[in-house]
Amino acid sequence: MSCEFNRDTLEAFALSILDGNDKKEAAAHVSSCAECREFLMRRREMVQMLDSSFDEEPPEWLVQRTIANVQHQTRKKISWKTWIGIPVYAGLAVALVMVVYQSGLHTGRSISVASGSGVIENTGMKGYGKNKPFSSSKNDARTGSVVYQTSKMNADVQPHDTGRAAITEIIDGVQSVIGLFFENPVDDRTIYRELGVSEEVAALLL
Amino acid sequence: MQITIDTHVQHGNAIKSGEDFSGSLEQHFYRGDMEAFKEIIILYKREIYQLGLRLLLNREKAADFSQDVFIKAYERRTKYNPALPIKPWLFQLATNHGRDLLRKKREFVMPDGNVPEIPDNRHGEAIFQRRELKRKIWSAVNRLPISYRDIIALRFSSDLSLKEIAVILGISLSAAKVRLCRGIRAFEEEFKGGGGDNDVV
Repeated sequence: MSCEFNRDTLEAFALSILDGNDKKEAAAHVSSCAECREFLMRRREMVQMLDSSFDEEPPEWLVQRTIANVQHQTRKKISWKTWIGIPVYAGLAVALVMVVYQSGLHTGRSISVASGSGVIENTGMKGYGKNKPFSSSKNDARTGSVVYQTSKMNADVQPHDTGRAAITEIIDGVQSVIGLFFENPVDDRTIYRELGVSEEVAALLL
Repeated sequence: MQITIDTHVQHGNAIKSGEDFSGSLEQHFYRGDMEAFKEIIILYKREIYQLGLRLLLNREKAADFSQDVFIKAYERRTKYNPALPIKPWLFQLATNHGRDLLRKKREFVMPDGNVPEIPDNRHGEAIFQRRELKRKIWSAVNRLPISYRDIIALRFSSDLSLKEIAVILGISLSAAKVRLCRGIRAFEEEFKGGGGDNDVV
C-alpha cells in the first residue's frame, strides 16, 4: 500500500474494534482515500468469508446426550455413597439399639444387684478411666447401672432415672461396641469383659 | 479471578442495587437444577460448538468438545458466582479446554470427508468451488498458531465484547486488539500463500 495511514488502525477499523477518536479518524481517512477504502472492503470480505465458513449447527444429539451423561455421572456418585454410607449408618444404628437393649434402658428395667457388690477391674481400655461415678451413695439403692471409675473400680448402683448417666452410658457403650466390632466379631460376654465389667455383673446383665 | 472482577464492574449497578438473583437461571444452575442446566445448553450450544469447530477444525471433535465443556460446567458450577452472567465463565472454560486439547494434540487435521457440506440445491461447478474455498479457509486456519486461532475463534463464534475476550485470555484490551489484527493478517497470508493442503489429509 502506498498510503501511509497506520495499517493497524485501519485493520482494527475493518474489524470494528476501534472506538473514540481513533474510530473517527479512521472513518474520516477512509472516506477520502480510495486505496484504504479498497483495502477495507477486501478485508471485510475476508472476515465475512472466515466467519461464514464455520457457521454450522451443532448435532441434534448434543443436548440430550450431555444431560444423560451428567445424570449418569450423578447416579454413579450416589450409588458409590450408598455402598459405603448405608452399611456404616446401619452398623451404627444396630450398635445403638443393641446397647440400649442390653442396658435395659429402653424399658426402664433396672438391674438388681446387691448394694455395692459388683467389682469392676480396670482393663486398661482407653477412655473408661476418665468416667466419674454418678452414684453418691452405695446404700440407698438396689437397682441401677454400671458406673465406671478410675483404676480400681466398684460397680456401684444408683437410682436409674439419672438422665445424664444413661446418656453417658449409651455413648460410651456405642463407642466401645463399634470399636470391638471393627476389630473382631465377639460375643456379648467378651464385650462386657472388654468394657471392664466383672464376671458377676456381666452374668446379671446377660 | 480476573473474569469475576471484570464482570463485577460491568454488572456493578445490579449488584449494588441489591437485585435478587435467587430465581435466575444462573442461580438454579448453580444449585444443580437439571432443567436450568438444559436451558443453558440450549442457549449456548451453537456458540460453544462453533468455538470448538474453529479451534479443532473437526466436526466430530467439536461436538465432543461441546459436550465436555457443558459437563465440566455442571461439575464446576459451585465455583461460579451465580450473581454474574454465565456466558464469559462458560467461554473461559471452553477456551481453556480447547487450548489444552490443541496443546496435547497438534495434529488436528481435516480429512476430506470432514469438510462440511454446503446446503445448496445447485449442482456442478459452483458447489465444487464453494467447497474448495471452505477447504482452503479451514486449511489456512489450521496453520495458524494457537494464540491467533483462539482469539479469532472467540471473536467470531460469540458476541462477546473484545474486553470480555481479553479477560478470558488473560491479556489487556490493547493486547487483544493487536493480537486479533495480527491474527487476521496471518490468516490472510496463509490463505493467499496457502492452498497448501500438505497438512490436510
